[in-house]
Amino acid sequence: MAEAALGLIRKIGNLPLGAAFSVVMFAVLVILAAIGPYVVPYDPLATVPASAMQPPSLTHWFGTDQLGRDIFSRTITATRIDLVTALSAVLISLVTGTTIGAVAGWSGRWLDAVSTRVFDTIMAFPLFALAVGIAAALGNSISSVIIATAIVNMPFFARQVRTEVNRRRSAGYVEAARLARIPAPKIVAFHIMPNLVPPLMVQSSLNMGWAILNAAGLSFIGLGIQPPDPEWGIMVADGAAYMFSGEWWVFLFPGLMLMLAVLTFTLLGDALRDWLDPRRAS
Amino acid sequence: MIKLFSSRLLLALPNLLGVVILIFILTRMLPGDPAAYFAGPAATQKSIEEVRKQLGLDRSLPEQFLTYVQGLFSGDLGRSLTSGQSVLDDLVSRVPASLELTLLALALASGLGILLGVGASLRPGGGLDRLCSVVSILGQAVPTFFLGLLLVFVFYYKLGWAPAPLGRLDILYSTPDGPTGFWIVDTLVAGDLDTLSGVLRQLTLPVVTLAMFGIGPVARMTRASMIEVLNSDFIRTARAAGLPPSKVLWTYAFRSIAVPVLNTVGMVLSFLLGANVLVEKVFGWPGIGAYAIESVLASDFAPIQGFVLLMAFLYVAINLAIDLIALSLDPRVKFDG
Repeated sequence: MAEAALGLIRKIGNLPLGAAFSVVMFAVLVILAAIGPYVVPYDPLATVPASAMQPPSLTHWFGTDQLGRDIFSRTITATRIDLVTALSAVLISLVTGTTIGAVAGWSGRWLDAVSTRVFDTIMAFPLFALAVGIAAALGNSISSVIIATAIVNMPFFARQVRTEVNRRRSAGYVEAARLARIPAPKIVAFHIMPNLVPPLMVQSSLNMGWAILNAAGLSFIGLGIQPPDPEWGIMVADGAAYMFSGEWWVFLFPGLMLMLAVLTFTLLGDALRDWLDPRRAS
Repeated sequence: MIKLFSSRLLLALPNLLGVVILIFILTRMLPGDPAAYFAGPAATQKSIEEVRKQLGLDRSLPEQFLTYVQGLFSGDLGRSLTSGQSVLDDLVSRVPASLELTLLALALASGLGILLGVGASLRPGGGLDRLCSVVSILGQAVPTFFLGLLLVFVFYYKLGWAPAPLGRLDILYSTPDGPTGFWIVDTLVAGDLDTLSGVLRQLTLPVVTLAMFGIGPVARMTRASMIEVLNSDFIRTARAAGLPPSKVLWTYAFRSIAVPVLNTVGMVLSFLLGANVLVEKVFGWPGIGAYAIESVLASDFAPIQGFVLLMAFLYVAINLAIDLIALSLDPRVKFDG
């Protein structure tokens, strides 16, 4: 057991710096999302007016906010809601985007033309502005933010899968499967799709980063998760007002955490790509 | 040239039609009864029915779509519930503020990105090349609004170099009253250099914030295409013929990478237009992004719809302009894609 752990550490140590950082941070983020709310030193929602606006200290590592809430506890607790929001959005766009892309790429003709048009139209918007519009139209809630984020991320999956399925449609092994009378959905799902798992993993990791940014941006402007629930985007928005009286810790720590989370998934995506396709590694 | 221009314009049309259809669908997604919504909170059952008739919501969807498009052509984007103004007027009065910010940021990002990319391509693995990867990784990971706040904290609160992040101009100055609404242009036309310096001071931090996110992609594309071009035969020939290195680099090599770089600039534009919303909030910038945020908070949907539509139109229009610049730079470009 100890030997296996040591081996793992050595393996991570041998990775390029960015990759090692992303693997370690990914593990930290997952652990924080899983157990964070149970191990934080203070209740993230408990207001203690007597200890409001304290700078970082040994009792409050990240300081306290205007209501005396412990910023460290709030920042850690927020990990779960931020990651779950982004993950839900990415899963929705992965599943729907892949399905639409696979059907379009396999069948070609009008289905392909229509879906290509629809995704081109989505990409004709500045995506964050479109997300604002969709989330506002769906009503101000977390699920609207998830759906809006999923819709703007969907074209990336759909386009990639469409191209790859289309390219493989006349490959030898697909022809063979067709001659063996295997039904088309089965061919796509079990003969073609396994080839697409690696690039989709890379795409999902990169999209996780964008989704976290997108969701945090939406809540920064007041859409989605509502106070007092701890969420990085809202905490930064809340803290911005106090920066002008010198209370920098209120906006700084949640912002740094948000940045670390996005950096983790971006670097993880890059690392996965280099690992899965060594030719592209520079 | 004119023929190519018009064919490129025609290619943009399906995209614009798609945009309009998508926005139409968005308006039909509104939770609850749109008639009750647009009639306002104080509406009675009767006035709701009236609004329903007025909006044409009692008719079939294709009919509604036609009326909607007709409305768009006559410039009718609805009315804002909060300001009581027509959304089109509101947007038109605010769009110069947003465009001045976004276009300056785009220019800065492209300029710095190209310089950094060319520098990195000259010595792959060198210092500039490392800076290039750091900038592009951070550009992907730092949230726009967080970077904006950090810059405000350091340069306004701590160092006192930048003015307060409270809009386009300090209240000490009188508002430029020019025809364009682009205050840099207006103050230049009026010859009011004092106000111009005030305008530039307010613009610096938001433009830098926004530009930070465009530098990475432009630099990476420049670097990759430049490395390829510098290894090609015609550059070797130009060097062998004894042309000065700067001429080889900027006249020969740079012209042949202008097109892929400009395409990346177009992609960056989409990103900057979106990020603009957040930057406007951080810097109290009175543009269309801030307008959209106010409307989101007031659950006022007509302005949001107008905002999304305008964003898409701006993106398509500016991209068209970039394509045309690419065309004028490189006669080999044909628009058939």
